[in-house]
Amino acid sequence: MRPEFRRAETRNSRTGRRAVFAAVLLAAVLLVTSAGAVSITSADGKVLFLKSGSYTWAQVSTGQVLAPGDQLKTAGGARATVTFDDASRVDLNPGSSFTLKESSPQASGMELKLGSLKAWISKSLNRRFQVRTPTAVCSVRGTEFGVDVEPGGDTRVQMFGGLLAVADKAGNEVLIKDRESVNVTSEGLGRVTDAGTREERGDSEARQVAKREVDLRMSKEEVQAAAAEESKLSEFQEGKAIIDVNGNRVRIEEYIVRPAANQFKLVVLNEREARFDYFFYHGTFNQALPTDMSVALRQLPGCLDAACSYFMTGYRTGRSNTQDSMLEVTSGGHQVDINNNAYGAPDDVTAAYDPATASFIPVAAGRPFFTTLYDNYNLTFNGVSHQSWAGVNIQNMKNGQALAPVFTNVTTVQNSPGCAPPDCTYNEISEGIFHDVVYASNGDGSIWEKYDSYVINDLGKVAKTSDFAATGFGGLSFKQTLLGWNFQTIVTASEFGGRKIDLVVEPKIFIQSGLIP
Amino acid sequence: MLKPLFLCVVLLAASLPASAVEWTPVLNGSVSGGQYFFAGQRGNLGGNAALTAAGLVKLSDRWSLLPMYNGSYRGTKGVDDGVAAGTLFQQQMDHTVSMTGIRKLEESTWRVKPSAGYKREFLKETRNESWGHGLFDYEKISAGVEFENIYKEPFSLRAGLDVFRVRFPSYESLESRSGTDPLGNPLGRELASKHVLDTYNWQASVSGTRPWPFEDPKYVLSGSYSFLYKDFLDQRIVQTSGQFEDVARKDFLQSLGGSIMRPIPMRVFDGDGRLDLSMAMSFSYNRSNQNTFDATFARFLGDSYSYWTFGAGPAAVLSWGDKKAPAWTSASFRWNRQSYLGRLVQDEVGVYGSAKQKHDRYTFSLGYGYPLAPKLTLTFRTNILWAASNHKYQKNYAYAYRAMNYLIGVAYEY
Repeated sequence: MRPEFRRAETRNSRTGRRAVFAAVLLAAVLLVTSAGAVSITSADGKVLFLKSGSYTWAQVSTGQVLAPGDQLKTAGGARATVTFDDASRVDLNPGSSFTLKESSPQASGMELKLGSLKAWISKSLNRRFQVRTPTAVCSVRGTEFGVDVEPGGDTRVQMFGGLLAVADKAGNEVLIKDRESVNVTSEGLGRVTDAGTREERGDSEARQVAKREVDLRMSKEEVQAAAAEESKLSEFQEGKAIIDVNGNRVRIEEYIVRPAANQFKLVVLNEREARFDYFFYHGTFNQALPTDMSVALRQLPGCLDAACSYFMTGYRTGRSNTQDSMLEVTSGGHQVDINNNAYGAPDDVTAAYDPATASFIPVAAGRPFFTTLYDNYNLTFNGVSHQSWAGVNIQNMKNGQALAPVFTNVTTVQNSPGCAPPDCTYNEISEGIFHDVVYASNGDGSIWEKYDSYVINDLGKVAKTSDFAATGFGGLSFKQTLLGWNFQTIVTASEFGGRKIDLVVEPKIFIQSGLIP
Repeated sequence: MLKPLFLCVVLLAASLPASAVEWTPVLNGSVSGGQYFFAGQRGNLGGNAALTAAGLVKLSDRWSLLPMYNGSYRGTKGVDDGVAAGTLFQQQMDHTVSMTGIRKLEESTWRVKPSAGYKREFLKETRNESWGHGLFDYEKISAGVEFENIYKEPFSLRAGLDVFRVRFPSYESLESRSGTDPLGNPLGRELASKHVLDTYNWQASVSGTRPWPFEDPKYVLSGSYSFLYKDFLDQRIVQTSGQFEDVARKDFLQSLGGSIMRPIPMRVFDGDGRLDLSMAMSFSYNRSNQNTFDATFARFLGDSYSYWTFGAGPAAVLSWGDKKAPAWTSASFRWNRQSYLGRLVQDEVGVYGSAKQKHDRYTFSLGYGYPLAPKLTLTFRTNILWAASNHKYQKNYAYAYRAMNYLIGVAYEY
């Protein structure tokens, strides 16, 4: 190569005449033999070569020497590098069609019919370098530029360094300099644009690398975020977060504690942003519970035809906001065939909840139905008793009947027309929504309790009567439909000092535990 | 709350080099608005926005750094989001900062890329939640290293190891804070855990792309495999009786994915265009030691977090016009099935059956992009989801429904 030889000549000039002579001689030989030599110095993928005068394309190999008239084609994804004897270099991009037109010490010429190339041209005072396309001619000395040719022949020439003359077929010529570009079509030269900024020059190699790295990083973030998302979803799927009637999120946790072999404790916790409420149901059974507690718990609402093998001898249930409490405590539980007791039909069970199928089934008159009655009961609010009863082996709950307990009720339910809302028992069924208020008080109203209940879905929407239109009200279908909703009950009492206990609980919890018949 | 985020931004800024090094910025942004529809209900009009800002800093021939910020805000729900409480109202915002080092190995096509990142996601799903105090807000701290061999530009093979910690700062189990009842008895179970959602994660992955045929490519093949070990340090295993065992939950998730893509040059509107056809498939298998206990039914469900998923679907993108700012339209379809190994089906009122849960999701997406100016594209996207399941109990979470969303906006890419 000529530049290297020139350096060698300079070094040899210090070593004596013979060396100088030999070097000059060698240089002369090299100049003669290598002037105008063009070769393929790199080929990646399918690069085809057509020798001038030949009709057969062949896969090119590295080192292949090109002569004027020889053609190259790069397939999609393939690349090739053509190197000239003066170290000028042309990189052919995928999908390009290239012909070497001329190669001599005075000029190098080539034609690009389709595709794109990027050229690095060595500076030379005597040599002209030319790239022709179907619409343009680019003439250059010492520069770096790129040429893109579209299938229709439209050409875009971009300069990266140096000076370039670009001419159209009509002979109009324009000089573009460093970082400028011009489009040439069959209609002639376009406007020279300043491609000095990166965005106008298109994506640089560095930008492509940067974008690629950004994409890879984003993909990795997505994979890792999916792991977090799955943890959240599993909480949703267990129904641990719903919206209450006021539009606030309520977190709910339900679980069972086993304080002793014959005991279970169902706990329902509610948390809102600024409050914590809970419900618990702590039962003591007549015998040790099995590992699968559902065997015992499904007998809680009562048993058809024969006495339950598992029944509670007592329970304690309560609601609290961590400061105030409402407690029910019972003892002396025993089985009674409520449909065949001395009291007769008024306390008969006509429909029973079957936990096995989570549905209500009808019970014919006279069919034995065993339920648990408790000899002692006490309902307190912050320790103050509002209702209680006591008895021995009671057989019915009708006040004044034989084998019924003695009731000591401080508060009694207040109904219209003896009272008016809000401190009264009323509902908004007639307004089309399931909102129900029960109010109980003593004679002078100094001791009272109030249950403000809504039937809501998981989004906090209050159930409309139209949601139950197909099932009617009060029947089995109605109760069945109710199972798909939530109960939100706000309890207030004279002992709470204006505070409330606000609980959202699935009705199934109450029904299954026998608290709702 | 935002302190670590701010600190990372400051550190990133401090790490940016002076003018002596090469700096290549990347900036992508988008703004869009749209609506979400679910089972006949319509959400309010909402807006989405996203921004990615990064810069490749070339420190030397061997070393480069990629500091990156990514942030997004979502005011409309995506069809892939789960449908539970807060179906129609959801606002989400996340911010991620990361730093990746890129080291080219001498005389090889291999690169080593150590990285670290911090992400904070905020979620508002109800009226009483404010930014930074959402129940399911989380933060993620990650670090990892990837080895990449770009054996034939742009095709490569990659192998990586990552460690990341996911923490839900607002989420603690209620049971761990339940105290005692008014009678003085404990409300919670023994060994009740507190930070039940927090995890430490270790992931190993390999992936690659390859032209096919190698010398004269007509297709692009890609494949990936990853192994993720999730350690729930503070979530104990539930026993048959519904009580806790002093063993932490551990999940092992393996994922396998592959796709084939065929770019086809073609004439579109009397100009050059390109049709990219692709088909993708994925399979994952999660093995967990956790069970559940349904207190409502006093029912123990063993192995209820183990599952496998399979997904597949074709996609097509047609682009035409200016190569640097093409117009495009896209269509894709995807089917995903998730099958649980131990989670039993329930009927409409919650009664358990004997079959295991299977959930199917069919997603159909359409998109259109029109270049408004260099780097600026008008975009329209719509997604339609049809979800089906043999699990009929949908009181807490929807498994069978139809949902749709659409988004119209502009995207800028620098």
